[in-house]
Amino acid sequence: MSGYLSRRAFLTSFACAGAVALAACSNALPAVPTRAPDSAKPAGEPTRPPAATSPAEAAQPPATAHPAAAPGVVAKSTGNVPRNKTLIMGFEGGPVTPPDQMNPNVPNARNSFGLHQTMIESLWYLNYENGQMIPWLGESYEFNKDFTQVTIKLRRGVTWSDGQPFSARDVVFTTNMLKEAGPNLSYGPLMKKYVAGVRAVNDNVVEFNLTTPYPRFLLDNFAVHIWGAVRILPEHIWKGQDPNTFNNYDPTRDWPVFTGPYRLVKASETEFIFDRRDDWWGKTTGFKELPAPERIIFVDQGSQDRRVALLQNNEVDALPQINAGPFQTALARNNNLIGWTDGKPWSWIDPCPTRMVFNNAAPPWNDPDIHWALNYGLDKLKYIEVGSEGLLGKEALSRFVFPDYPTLRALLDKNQDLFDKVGINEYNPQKAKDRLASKGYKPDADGILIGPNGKRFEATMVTQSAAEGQNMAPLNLIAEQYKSVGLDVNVKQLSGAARNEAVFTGDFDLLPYHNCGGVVDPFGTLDIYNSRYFAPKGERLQGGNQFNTPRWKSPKSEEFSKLADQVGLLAPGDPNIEPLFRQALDIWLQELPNFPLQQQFRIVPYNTTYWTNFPTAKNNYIHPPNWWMTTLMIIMNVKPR
Amino acid sequence: MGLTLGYVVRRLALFVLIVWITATINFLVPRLAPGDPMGAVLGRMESQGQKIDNAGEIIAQYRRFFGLDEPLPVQYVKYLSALTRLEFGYSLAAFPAKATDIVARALPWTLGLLATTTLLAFALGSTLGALLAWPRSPRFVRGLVPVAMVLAAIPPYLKAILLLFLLAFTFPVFPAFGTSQIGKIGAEAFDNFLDAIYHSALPALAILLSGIGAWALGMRGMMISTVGSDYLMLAEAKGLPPARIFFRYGMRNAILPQVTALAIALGHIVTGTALVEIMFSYPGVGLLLYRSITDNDFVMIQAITFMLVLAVATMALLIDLLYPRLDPRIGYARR
Repeated sequence: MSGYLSRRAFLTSFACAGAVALAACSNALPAVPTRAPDSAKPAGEPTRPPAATSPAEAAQPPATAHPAAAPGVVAKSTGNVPRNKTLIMGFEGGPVTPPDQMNPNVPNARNSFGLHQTMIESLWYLNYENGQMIPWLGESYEFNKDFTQVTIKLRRGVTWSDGQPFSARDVVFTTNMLKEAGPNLSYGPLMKKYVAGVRAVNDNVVEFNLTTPYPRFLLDNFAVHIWGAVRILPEHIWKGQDPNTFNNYDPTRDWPVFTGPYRLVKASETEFIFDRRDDWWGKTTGFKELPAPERIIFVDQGSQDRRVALLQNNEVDALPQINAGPFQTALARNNNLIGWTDGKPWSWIDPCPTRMVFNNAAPPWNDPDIHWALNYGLDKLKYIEVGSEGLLGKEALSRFVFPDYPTLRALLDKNQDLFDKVGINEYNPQKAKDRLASKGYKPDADGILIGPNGKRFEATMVTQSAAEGQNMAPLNLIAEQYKSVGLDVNVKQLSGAARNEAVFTGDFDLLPYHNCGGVVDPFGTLDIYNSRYFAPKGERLQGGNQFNTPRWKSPKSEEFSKLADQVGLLAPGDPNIEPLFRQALDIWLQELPNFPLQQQFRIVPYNTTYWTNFPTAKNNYIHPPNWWMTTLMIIMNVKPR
Repeated sequence: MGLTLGYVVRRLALFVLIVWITATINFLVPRLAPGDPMGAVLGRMESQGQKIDNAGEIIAQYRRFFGLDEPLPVQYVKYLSALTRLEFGYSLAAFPAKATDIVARALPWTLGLLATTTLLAFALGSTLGALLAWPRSPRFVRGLVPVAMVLAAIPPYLKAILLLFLLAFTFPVFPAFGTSQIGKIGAEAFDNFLDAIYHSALPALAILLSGIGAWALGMRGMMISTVGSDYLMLAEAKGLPPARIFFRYGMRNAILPQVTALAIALGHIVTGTALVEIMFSYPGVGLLLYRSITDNDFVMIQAITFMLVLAVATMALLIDLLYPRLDPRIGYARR
């Protein structure tokens, strides 16, 4: 019959179409290269980098991808390691996508899945507990008189994991690569801005010439100030690679190559396994003994429920964070768990306290009287209690936007009179109302104030969304308390990129936000309020979300900025910093561009079932974050139980 | 009766039209959402303690690299051209990884979990539903109707919470998360396969229990209308075995609408069940989609939703073309 497809014709055409579709798909999906057999690589032969794409092609997709094997492929089968010789830690941020991305400098590099804790070593490690920089790959340094040049002496005998020597050339190569590769590599813009030139004086001496006096150059960039530091890369592997797209992963060649005491043996989205290298340079030079864990595994810590399961079942020895309630649940089932402190709140103070930011680029939020009124109008102690579900109290109050660390605390203690004069943590709603009344605000029938311009006193407060784990209770408390002094607050929850954008462009009136600045020295915090980072509302902040988030620019802020710049020219610990800081603090307290909300307490749980000698407040050989590069100090110190 | 060439051609043209329209919507919607994905990138750099001095420059460079600085029509034409090659470009949030690479890694997990549970839920649920409506079923089977309704009503993620509480925390029978035993390395492929099955048990069970209830109730409805048919009475009068009547005469005729629904369901599995995957930290496409949305990574969103569109449209096309083979009464000849 014409026009009808017979069964045979139909099945034939269907099969042909399916074959065509399969052929198309096989071209669209990336090929998984086969792994070269281990016997193909002669023992002891140094690895050679693959054919490289030139940096000029950075804007184009590479013609051939680096022939990395698929993640999950084991470079060498190393067999089982007993649980009591294995250290298992959690990593935050969810599954790592893609898991074969071992370039530590691209902006999306996660690094804290074990890469920068076990494999990448820093020149120095800042110890928050005593404010000292622990020398590691760097042995010593010397600045010239005006801090425009620093000479670093590197430790001798350091080798890369492939046996090649680590030298000054690698430091020079890394610095120049970061300078030249474009603005988006980690530390790239900083190296470009501050390093005029760098040279290897000899195999283990590097000389940096700086564009401007910068006494904190090493502290800020090479000493794990917060979270990480410049990652020195092996020139013999990275030379000729495009640093923007090279993924640095090939288990057949034992890549990635770094100097640390561990090597990567398995990478998957939710699990990374690192085995100890018994040929680590630290052991062979006599610098340190090998770390005790023969194997370190990093697993996705997941939701709070999962963290409880991991801890109570002894499936992990450390996690980056857990909330108080789940921690108490886990503790009830496993009394080998510890926090930073022996009892409540078990918490360590995070370097980024929180603050209430005003958008000073938009009236009336640029008025210091409004700032102080809202400061007095909020019961911060109640805010803290509600937010911590009763776990924290006045110990979490913050006088200034410093983390409560010893050197900074001492500095604030010397200026306590300034805080007493203004009552920074005073809760006095009547004082708040009086301040607002003095500005011409009058209540309407609902108790909401009407401003001198006839407009309702309203504010949009941008917060992280509850869907992302934000506890809304303390934020709702803020809205409630402000309503009682006459301010109508609209709490606007935003997630991820939308929230970042709002902060970036100043699309808020009020913003509870963190403040990451100095940790042992006040400059880092003073600098983030510098008026040179100002951007009008609607324009992006050039310094990212941390720098001048409150968009503070006024005659007083210019004075403040000059003082901050003067502090920046003095080395940390210089006694001349104190009087400058006092003047700056006085101005800051007069204008109050944002006010401190609380110290950030964070429970970093450790499990002593299999391992001991984790850092605690009593055993504070290092601060406890196990997602930072300083985790290596913890790994070097843990002992099997 | 049957399939005609004219119908096949018209149906294929409709398929292309549907895919084009949804691809266009897929292109426009992420760009209308608030938030710049570059802002998320800078946020990540800052959370790593980095001082950023040139946010504008970084964003401008990324926008140039991803072609986001070009006029929208130019971006659209390039997007359509790349789609024909199934090329989506580099992920905004996971650069320099490619979107297709990332999806290709996640897809097997989702397909493995959801294809298995969907097909199993379909088979078990349809059979159960048919039995629920069959007059000769044992009484206890018919008493399962409320059970099926409860299973269908409770969403998979709530079942997931219950299963976690019962079978992972209270009685640790199954692992609560992940896809393999922690520290497993160098094992045989079959061993890894069994481990993956074991770790997928709870998410699979959560999805399966929901699916069984829904399919059972749907099939029961179809079966009720089939049970009173004359041809079934004739089959019984002829003395055919009850099982044959049930499967070949009863279910066979009642299952057609279920097959359509199965095709659509199979088309949807490529995007996973996001909530279940999030709860179990299962590295599938659902979790990937969720994270792409929060990162405003529209390259990934486009890749995943296009895959969904293609899968659903393809399954619908296939089922349309296969229908006359399943039921000879159906034909597409124009009269």
